[in-house]
Amino acid sequence: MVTLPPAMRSEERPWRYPLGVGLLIVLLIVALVLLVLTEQNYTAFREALQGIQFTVSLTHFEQLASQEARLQWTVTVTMPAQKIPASLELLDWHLYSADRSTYLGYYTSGDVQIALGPNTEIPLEAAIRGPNFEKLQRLQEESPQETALLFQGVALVMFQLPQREERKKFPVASVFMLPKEGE
Amino acid sequence: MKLLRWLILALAAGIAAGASSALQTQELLDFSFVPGNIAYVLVALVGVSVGLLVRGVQEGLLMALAITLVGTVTLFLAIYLPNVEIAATAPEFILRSVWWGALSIFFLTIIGMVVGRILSGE
Repeated sequence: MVTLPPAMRSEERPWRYPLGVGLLIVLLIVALVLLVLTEQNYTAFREALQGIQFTVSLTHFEQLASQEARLQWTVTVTMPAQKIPASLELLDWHLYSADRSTYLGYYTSGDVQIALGPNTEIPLEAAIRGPNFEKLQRLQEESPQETALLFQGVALVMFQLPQREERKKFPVASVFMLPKEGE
Repeated sequence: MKLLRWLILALAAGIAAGASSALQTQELLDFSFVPGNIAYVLVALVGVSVGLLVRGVQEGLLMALAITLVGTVTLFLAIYLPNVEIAATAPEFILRSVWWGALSIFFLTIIGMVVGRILSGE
């Protein structure tokens, strides 16, 4: 039977208790700080998903002699208090008459990378030509005053999460009035 | 006094383990600044620190159970509170994370404790 001298027994080691307590305190602080930061990111992301808003307004309408109409819009993207960096990647949209009975074509912003702030304005442009232009003219002739059109699209927004990128599609829709030529 | 110290230790270690384990859950992993593996390492380190403080196999096992209990409650609250409406409609998502988290807390704590005991020379 071998008996260890007191200095060899583990309970006599003076560094064991302070090391254990110290490590535990550090781990508790680190874990709680990481959890709070993670929860803040998570909440901010969900608020961004729920609170992101797109407003579309027509800024310019021009009917060219060469059987072409040029329309310009400004899409305003409003984000709630932004903690997660986000950028708009793509905006595709369709144009219809307001009652959706006439389809006026599909348009896209192409691949863009616009960093989104609390209020970001994105200029968009579409040239309506050929059969779509003729349909637009017919709509204008049928309308006594302004012609109501529907802008219906999808915005692809990329959120930069700490561990990966999250791409989300958001519907963008708005009815706008097309003034009579010369007004 | 000894019981109070024991309870404080179980509470602190359980909260640390639960908070660490929450970082690797499906719900929060993408939003965490550390990868899932680091979260597991943190849980194991909690076991190491507790391993330096407890004596005996029975006390170690009891402590591991207490840490798992407190850790599971912490983990549940960490996932449930920001997801109250999801939990109401699809509780299975949260319960799956909690179940896996509890299991990993228990076994990683025990592994950590064994490492802690070895490091302390026992």
